[in-house]
Amino acid sequence: MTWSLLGDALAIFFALCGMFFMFVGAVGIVRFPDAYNRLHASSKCSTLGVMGLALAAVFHVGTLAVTTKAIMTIVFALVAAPVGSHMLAKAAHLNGLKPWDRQLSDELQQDKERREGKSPCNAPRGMAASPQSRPARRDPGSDPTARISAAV
Amino acid sequence: MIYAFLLNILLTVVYVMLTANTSTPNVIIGFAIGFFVISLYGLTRPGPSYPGKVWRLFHFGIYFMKILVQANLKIAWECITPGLHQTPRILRHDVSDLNDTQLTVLANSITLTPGTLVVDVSDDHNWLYVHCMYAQDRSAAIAELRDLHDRLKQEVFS
Amino acid sequence: MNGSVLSMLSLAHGPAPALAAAASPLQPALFLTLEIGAVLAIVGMMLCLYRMVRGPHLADRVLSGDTLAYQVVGLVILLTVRMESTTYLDGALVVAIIGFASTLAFSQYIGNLNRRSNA
Repeated sequence: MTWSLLGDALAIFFALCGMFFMFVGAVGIVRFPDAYNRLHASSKCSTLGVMGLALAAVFHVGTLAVTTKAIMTIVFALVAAPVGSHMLAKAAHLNGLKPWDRQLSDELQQDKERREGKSPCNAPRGMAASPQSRPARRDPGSDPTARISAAV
Repeated sequence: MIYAFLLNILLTVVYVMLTANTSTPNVIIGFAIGFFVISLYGLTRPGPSYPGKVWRLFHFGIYFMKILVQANLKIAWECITPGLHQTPRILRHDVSDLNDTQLTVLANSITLTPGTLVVDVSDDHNWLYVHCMYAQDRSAAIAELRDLHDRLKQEVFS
Repeated sequence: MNGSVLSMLSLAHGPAPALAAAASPLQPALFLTLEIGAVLAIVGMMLCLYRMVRGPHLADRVLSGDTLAYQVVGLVILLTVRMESTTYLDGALVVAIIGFASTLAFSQYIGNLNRRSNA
């Protein structure tokens, strides 16, 4: 009796947490300004939400089959959500997704242009003119030009 | 090394399947036997002992859960307060000292830490391009990434 | 059970008979929590659909579809807790895998789209 009471209390707690974070993820998808920020909400919140709900199932039902499948679901969510968001962000950047106006710098775009030897007039709108757009100059140790030219 | 811990879990599964008894005490006994065997084997090898490695792995697990909850709370705070406070950037982060497995684990855990998301890996696997949500100060954001990087190298792949 | 949100999603009605004897006094509170969770999941799915219709870029639509798949996973796990049945969790895992595979396929499509238009 005590065990089922404790299990139900934990199940209520984890189910509430999981559903709250899932809902927050959905709200973040609607509210955030561009696709990268939306990917933040999508990957983190769906991982923790699925984790909380699976733990609620474990604590309420508690049989071996449910525990095994819940652990499998948690591990799959932990691996799949970051990989999916990574691939989506990479494809979106490859496709030339226009970043948010308030984005401070885009060093991936700078490196791509440097690698292709393009002139800076091809830079996306409003990005190259920002005074903070070349922060790599501040720490010369992390300048990738040498390594990239050596690789090419 | 995390591979020894994975071997321990594999030994547990084999023990449980061989004894055909899936109760919780039996699983714990199987895990303990595997732990003992791998510790004995680790005594013959140079380097840190196996229980110390498992303790560090456990420590990293606690830290990882903490930062995962922190990331979600940050997004929740961003959602429920009016207006947008993000100052996003795409930064490059040096990962030339990691092999491919370590790079995969690092990329996955960077995506789950607060305010960071991996966008791309350079073709020579030397640079990770990370989208940071709150990166008004570039060096502070890089320092957070470096902290996770060092913890992963020392506590998981030591 | 009649008139609740989760009952509309399931063919079975009522709690599982096996565990009904061992019900704890917190069970009504847990079931109320599950109803609230189902409503939250359905509202979240509507928000995802809004972003899918509205999304300015193709990536926005794909990521809203990904999140929609995870909301469905959450709803199915809620149904598992409500019905105290193992079978529903298989459904949750299958939906998660299909959502992941569709995200990968769509991101390959988005990446190839750029290459084709440039060539």
